[in-house]
Amino acid sequence: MVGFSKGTMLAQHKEPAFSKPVVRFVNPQTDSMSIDYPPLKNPKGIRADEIIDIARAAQIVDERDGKLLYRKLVRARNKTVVVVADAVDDEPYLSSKIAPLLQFKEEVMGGLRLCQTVAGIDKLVIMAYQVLTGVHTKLPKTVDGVEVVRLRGKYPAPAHASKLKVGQGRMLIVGTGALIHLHRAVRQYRRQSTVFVTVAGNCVANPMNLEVSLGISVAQVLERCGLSAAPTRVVCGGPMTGIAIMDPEKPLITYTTRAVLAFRENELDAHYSCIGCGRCEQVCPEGLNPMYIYRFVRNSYYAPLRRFDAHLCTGCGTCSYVCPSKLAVSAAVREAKAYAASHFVSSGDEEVDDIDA
Amino acid sequence: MTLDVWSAPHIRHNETTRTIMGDAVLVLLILYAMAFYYYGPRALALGAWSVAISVVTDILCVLISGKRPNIRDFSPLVTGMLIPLLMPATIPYGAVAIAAVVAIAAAKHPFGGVGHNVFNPAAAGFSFSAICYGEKMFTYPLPLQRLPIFGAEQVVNGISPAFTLSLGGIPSYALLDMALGNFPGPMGATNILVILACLLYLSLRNTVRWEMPVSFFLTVSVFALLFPRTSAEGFESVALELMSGMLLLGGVFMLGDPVTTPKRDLSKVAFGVVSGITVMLFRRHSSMEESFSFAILAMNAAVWGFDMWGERLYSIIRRRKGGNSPDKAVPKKT
Repeated sequence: MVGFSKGTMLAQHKEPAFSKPVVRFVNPQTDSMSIDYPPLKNPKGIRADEIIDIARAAQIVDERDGKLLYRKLVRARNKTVVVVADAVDDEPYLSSKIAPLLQFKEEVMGGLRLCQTVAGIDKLVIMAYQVLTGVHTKLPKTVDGVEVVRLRGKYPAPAHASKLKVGQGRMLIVGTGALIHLHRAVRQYRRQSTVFVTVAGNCVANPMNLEVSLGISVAQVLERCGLSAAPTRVVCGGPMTGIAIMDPEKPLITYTTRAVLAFRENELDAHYSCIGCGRCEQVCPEGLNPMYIYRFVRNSYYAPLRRFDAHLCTGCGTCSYVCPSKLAVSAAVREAKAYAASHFVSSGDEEVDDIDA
Repeated sequence: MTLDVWSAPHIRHNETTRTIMGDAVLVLLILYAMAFYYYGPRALALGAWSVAISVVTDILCVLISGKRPNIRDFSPLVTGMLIPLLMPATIPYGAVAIAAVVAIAAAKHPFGGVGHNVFNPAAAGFSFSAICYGEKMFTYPLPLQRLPIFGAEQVVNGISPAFTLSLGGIPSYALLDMALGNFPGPMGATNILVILACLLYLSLRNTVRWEMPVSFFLTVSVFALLFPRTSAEGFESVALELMSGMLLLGGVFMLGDPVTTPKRDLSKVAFGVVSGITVMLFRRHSSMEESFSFAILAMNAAVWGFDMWGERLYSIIRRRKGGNSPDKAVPKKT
């Protein structure tokens, strides 16, 4: 949404994971799994439907939205004006999209060119979030002749911002991890069995980016990187949007796990009440008023929520981040959004997200 | 290992409620330093007395409502520090105590405590005391005399500019003296330049949003320019209106209080403009020398309306920009 270019600046904490090489941490049995597909007759001039079939056989999932890649390719075929490689890591600590791009340039570019073949167009763009301070690695201006569009500024860096920079029209946005797996599937006939995960947090001894096999437990991943203290909070996903887990032994690494974060913190300042400072509505990127939504939800008074448009919430978590009273504002807005979805809104919002018309 | 359940986000900004209140306490301490310079130790004694009454009342109210007192909550401290600054340095301790009790026990806690009060506590407390004590509330001592802590009988009183203006005269103080605070008036409200510096600091720290004080002062200036109360015209009328009484102090600390103001930027501006007009109308037509706090209370009652207007405005903007309205979508359940 262009009208509300709000949001907040976050300390990024991307180092030291960002500049370290990506380390493989794989299950050897699943790592060698290959796909069942007849050899290509002409590997140089591969056709679009062959790429889609291989993506389907390799069961590649795009890590940025959890959708099957072949479905996105089918929908984008001959309808897209630009293919975008998504390396936007705008949440703190995360570098699991940008670090593989810098380390496996050939594979990402190979995957991007395959997507280009499917879409049947010329224009390719790589989208990345530029961290201005505190990182040792600089973003390149171009990768293999493809322009790197750098998003700057406040969190959240929305996909809408890229629309202004790459022009109007439909775009196919694919995460860099999915591009790497697409390249491997087509060139080496390997199934997707790994994902790229950032392991970080203030009690992780050795923060780094890992290429982890699917199905390895969160506890094993933390053990691989070492813990310097017993964590009080373990998060699957980014620090702003991730899910805190109760027992690290049970959850497993899935297709959409972008990070495993372990924090140790003291929650002494936890019992303030809302002082009505209005900072949450100053930062909301969708122009909502989280303060009133929070108050109505906490008082279980849902009828006036209709006029507060909670269904537009993107779940970025900025309102909770800035709250000086440390309230769970964002959780209340999500609750209001769920209520709105079941009572007010029934449009097919979910489908219009990845390929913008 | 079993961990607690937390909801996202998992990192927080390091500013807390204590930071916001601490900023307010810091600038109020500066105003107390100025009051000490002009009126001696009695200023500090009044402040300490008011803070003690406010904090004790606050703890009692919290206990009565069945909650646990939070020692990190600085809001009664801010209210308690603000109240004596609105009064003359010769004010009896009883008037301060009544104002503090009314502020906390009548204006703040019956509405739900911190952050839920409809009316600004300091404005409510001051108004109540002003009605009770009348004359003493508006008898201001000349600055630069050391008032004793107890028994302030042999004090030389001066005529405050607000009083002269309310009678239709022109105050005889030089404008530079007024900017520096060297004229009789409320204990903390005369230090014009210091208060402006406080406003700058608070708005840079995002504790007070600049939109509302600025739109308020601009409206007051334009009003004073167009409709001067006395024979003083033009810039002189603007300067006298801005610097007399508690307009500047109240505009920053009472009107700018984030709890009792609208939340949206645009509704803040609208609120500032309407408040400016209200304050000037109160000044013109009230029989009291200082009617500012009553005007603030009247405006506080209208905050909800401004907020809902702002929400309506923003929902129109949101839907213009492409968000779909829940009203137009087909409801799932009939």
